Amino acid sequence: MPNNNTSDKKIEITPKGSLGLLAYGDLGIIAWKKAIKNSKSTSRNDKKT
Amino acid sequence: MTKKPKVLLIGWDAADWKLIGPLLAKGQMPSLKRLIDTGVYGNMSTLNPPYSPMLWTSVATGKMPDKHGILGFIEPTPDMKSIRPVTVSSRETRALWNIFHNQGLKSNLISWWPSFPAEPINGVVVTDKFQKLKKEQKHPPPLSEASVWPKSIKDTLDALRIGGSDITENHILPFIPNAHRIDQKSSKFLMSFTKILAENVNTHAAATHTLRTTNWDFTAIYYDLIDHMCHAFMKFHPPKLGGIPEHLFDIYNEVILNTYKFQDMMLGRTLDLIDDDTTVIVMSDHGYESGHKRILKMPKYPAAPALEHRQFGIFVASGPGIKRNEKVFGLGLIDVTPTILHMFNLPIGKDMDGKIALDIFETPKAPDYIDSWDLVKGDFGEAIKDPHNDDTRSDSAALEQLIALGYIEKPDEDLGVTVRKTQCDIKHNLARVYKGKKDYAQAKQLLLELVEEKPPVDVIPYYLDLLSLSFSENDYENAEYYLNELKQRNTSFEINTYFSEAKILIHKGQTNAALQMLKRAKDNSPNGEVWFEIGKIELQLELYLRAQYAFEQALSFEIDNARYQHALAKTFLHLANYETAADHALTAIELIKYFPEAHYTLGVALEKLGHEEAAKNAYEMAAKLKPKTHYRAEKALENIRNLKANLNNKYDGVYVKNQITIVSGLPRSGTSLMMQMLDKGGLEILTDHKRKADTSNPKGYYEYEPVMTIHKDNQWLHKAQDKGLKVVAPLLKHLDPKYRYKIIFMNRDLTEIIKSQQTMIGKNKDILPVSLLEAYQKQLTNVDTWKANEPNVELLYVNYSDLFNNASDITKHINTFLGTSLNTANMMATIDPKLYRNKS
Repeated sequence: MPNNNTSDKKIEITPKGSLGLLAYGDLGIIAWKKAIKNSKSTSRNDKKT
Repeated sequence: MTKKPKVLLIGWDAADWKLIGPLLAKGQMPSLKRLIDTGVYGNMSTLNPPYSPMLWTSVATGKMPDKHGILGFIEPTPDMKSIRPVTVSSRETRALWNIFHNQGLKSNLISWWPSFPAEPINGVVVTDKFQKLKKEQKHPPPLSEASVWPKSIKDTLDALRIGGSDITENHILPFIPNAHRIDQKSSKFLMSFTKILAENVNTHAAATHTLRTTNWDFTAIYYDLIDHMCHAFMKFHPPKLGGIPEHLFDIYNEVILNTYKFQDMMLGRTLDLIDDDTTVIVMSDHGYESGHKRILKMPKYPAAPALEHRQFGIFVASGPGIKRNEKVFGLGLIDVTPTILHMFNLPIGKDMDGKIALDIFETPKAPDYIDSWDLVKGDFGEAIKDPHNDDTRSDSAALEQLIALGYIEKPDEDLGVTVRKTQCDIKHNLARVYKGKKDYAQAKQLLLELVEEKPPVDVIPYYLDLLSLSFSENDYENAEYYLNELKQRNTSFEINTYFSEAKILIHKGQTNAALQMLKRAKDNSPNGEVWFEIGKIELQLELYLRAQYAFEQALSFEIDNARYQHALAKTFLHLANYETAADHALTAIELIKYFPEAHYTLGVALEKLGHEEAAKNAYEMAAKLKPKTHYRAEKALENIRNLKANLNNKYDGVYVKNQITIVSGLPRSGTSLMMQMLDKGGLEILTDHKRKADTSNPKGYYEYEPVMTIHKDNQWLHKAQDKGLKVVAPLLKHLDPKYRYKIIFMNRDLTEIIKSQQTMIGKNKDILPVSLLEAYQKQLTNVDTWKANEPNVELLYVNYSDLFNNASDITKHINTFLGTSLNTANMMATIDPKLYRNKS
């Protein structure tokens, strides 16, 4: 956990957002894993460029 | 054409209405609300001991643990050299999915506890090993071959798993908004949180994948999210407990409610994946303490955390043929399998302990039965038990979790000791199952074997159960012995010893000493149970207002305790507040439908309020729930029936078969004279003539010695049928409700009675002890109250002085009252006016 103050960033339990993806089950996990993979490859490509 | 049945069973370990209720009201569990609105809901009663693998196997088999064989969290490995989390190998009976396999139906089983190693059924099995993670590892451990069935789906499912480290800030903050304040170096709570969350996300991903990609008839999904979060974080749930530091409370106080919200979110997604023709059941195996009974310092014995499991879990069912928005009662875990088999029009095994919950159906069908599904030959998709299969050997991730939860001890360095302790735990759990089934002989035999164990096996828990068993059997001699054994072992029991010692004192007749002991216990540590015990004694002592206060205090700790509600109902009956008595009895029934005494109390209250027909229904339910043994309910029903035919004078002029004639009153109120009159009139008397005639009673006492100990043993009362028996007023309440009594109660001026008693014991008869006078007045009032609540008792008051002034009328009255034709001349001849001494 980063030690920055996030108390003003109240996040509710809601089907939207990251937690919603987990609650969505297999398709949510697949989408989430894909998004992470893409963001990693994007950041690698960014570094290359 | 009738559609093929389809059932989705969802298990939420430890889900509790106490927490769900407010969330539903605020609209924060919309998916569960949808099911409730379109279906039935109610309490689900747990079994003892409330250990989840035992309970969920009872759910899946319809049988008690002594029959299904899953008897704890762990089991020895087949070579007896180590231990492992309990596996399907220990299950000794077929589960729902085996039966469905045999019947050509397709089942999916997700994370059921236990389900490892996967059984080769027609369908998909994702075992309880699939989702398990290790705390320190970043990624999920490799999946073993036996973790899923069929093996062809292993890689697909494996790719869906995440580890604790995959849980990010965005996942954590909705549960723990102040997570940035956590010092992760000193606190492991966050790591526990991410692990539990990730494991349940894994279960859910496997469930949704299976629901989406397979054709199925039955799916069962088990989540341990609520239970595990409760074990880790319930101590931080509001209201704040005394021993919880403020800063930790601030960080973690929202975890539990947010866990329920997230569980509901997962339910929402699951419901999106099924069609309208699917019957959905959401249930838990037990509840979880969220109030004053939370334990901050767990006793150090295996499975102690289960002490926080509450008796009632939840049950919700919705689907074709299920009633809508209706509360159902009396459901038990063992009823789930028979009910689901019934939904599929399959027969119920007669060897199943559960019954079909017919109340949940709009139009119940007649059930079918077979002797046992275990006797049916054929393919049931069962695993071949192979003791050499390495897959079923030690499982470090699952073991680690059980240790972290406090369900098992850390294995001893000497594995032989660990195996021995495990065997003892299994035997102990079996004894507790027998005790729950009231098979006290088998339970006692196992416990007596266990107390012979040598250290490091701790025998204290076995003695505790022997003690409680002795109380169940009314064996106070052994109870005292086991209590002393426990004390000698120098352990601190505190409140438990108070209860046991108080019970023993009561049995010895030292009721006030017992009351004082419990009051001290209450001052040390007030709780619902100690107030309840205090109330019970005060009720017994006929201190009704005090008893009312004590039971109300008990309820202030635990409002939904059916025993407390019922005790208060009984107290209000004695206080002649029948409306309030009915309210509390109804609340008790709402909590536990199968509570015959509460139905009976409700019947009495309704009868007093003049609602005869409703009272009859309540009595009928009491008698039905306790067939052939709820004598008061049976007698009350007889009364209602007879009253209809003979409204004014009940049993006057009617000799009731086998009636027992009792002569009662305060000592020296003329009871011996009345006994003599009945004797001379021709009624056979039950007496042993042990107490000889003397100057106080020159014609004899007509006593029967066992009456003096009737509070301990009233089994001999059958000898008094069709006879006369003398019982002094304070002992009337110990009469066995099995019989019908006609009581001739002698009334005499209290001053005369006391004067006569003073003379008898050689004291100055002109000094009147006021306290004794008040005590006698109270006793007479209590006889009235007692009689009012006893359906099997008729009572005729006879004034002692009238015997001397109006004997003719009195003897006639007695004959009418008893329904006899005693010789009145002989009766009158026994009245000797010279014996009327100590007139006021």
